[in-house]
Amino acid sequence: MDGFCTVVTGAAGGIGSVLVRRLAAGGGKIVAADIDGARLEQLFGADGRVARSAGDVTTDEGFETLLRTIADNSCGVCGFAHFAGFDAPAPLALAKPETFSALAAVHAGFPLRFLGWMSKKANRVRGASAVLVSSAAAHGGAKGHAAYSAAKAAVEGLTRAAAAELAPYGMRVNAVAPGVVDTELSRAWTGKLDKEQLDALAKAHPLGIGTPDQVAAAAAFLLSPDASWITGQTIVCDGGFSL
Amino acid sequence: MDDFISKAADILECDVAGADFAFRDAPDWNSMKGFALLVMIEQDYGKRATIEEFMNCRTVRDLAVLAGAAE
Repeated sequence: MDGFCTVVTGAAGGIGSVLVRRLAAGGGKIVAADIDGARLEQLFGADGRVARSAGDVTTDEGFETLLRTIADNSCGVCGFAHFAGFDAPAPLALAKPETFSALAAVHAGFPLRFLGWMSKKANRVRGASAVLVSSAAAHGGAKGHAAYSAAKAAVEGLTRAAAAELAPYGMRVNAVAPGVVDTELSRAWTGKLDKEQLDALAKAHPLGIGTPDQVAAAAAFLLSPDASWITGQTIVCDGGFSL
Repeated sequence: MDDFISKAADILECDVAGADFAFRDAPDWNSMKGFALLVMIEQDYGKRATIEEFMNCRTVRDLAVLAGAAE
């Protein structure tokens, strides 16, 4: 859509960066947001199709920076993919409420706020599509991920409620729920697993551990007009983990 | 060291007689308890240990050294 952009958060991360490249290659204008400004510049500084917004989008300052970047590029937001996030694995006995609050803020709180901004009359774009990121952990009872699973379950509730509110304006909201994907984020906790646990994890994904491209492809589909009759859905993208 | 032993005992859910206790000999030992020890070391002592470092530990004292909590 000419004069419009897609906002991708977590754009310097494993899946987000792949999605940005994929969307930019398709001719779209992208606003790439990430907490790691240096990495954003490194990845996309030379790409004129990608505007960069560095900051923590869960803070007022980071949120305003993102909106300013959108305004500076004079684009309406026709796409939103929220890949920013983190995990803080801990067994239930060591899980902390403040960790859950931080996880909920980034996984569900920020998209709640941004979708609210997109829903305002001045910002609405008919045909716009948002893709949030849940996780197989929200469905399958992932040991050691109670806080993360709860935050990701919140994403799915938000997806359905926002989809219902935005459908009358021709706007769609969906989510992807990946299994374990080989990214820096997942390696931070798989590095804590012993061989027995790693073998079990691999075995639990009959099609293998996922790659960032596989999840980015699902997100790109949901963002595209090819998914124009799909809203409020969570697409499980987990290599058979949930079978 | 006493504080570290106390935290290890809490995770292992058994009496830990002293720093020389071989933590994998704890009743009901499983890999989840190993994971919990690693998380405790990171959360409480700010030390992100690798699985290789952890696998080289045998006693609670070894873990405390890893955490920088040994006296």
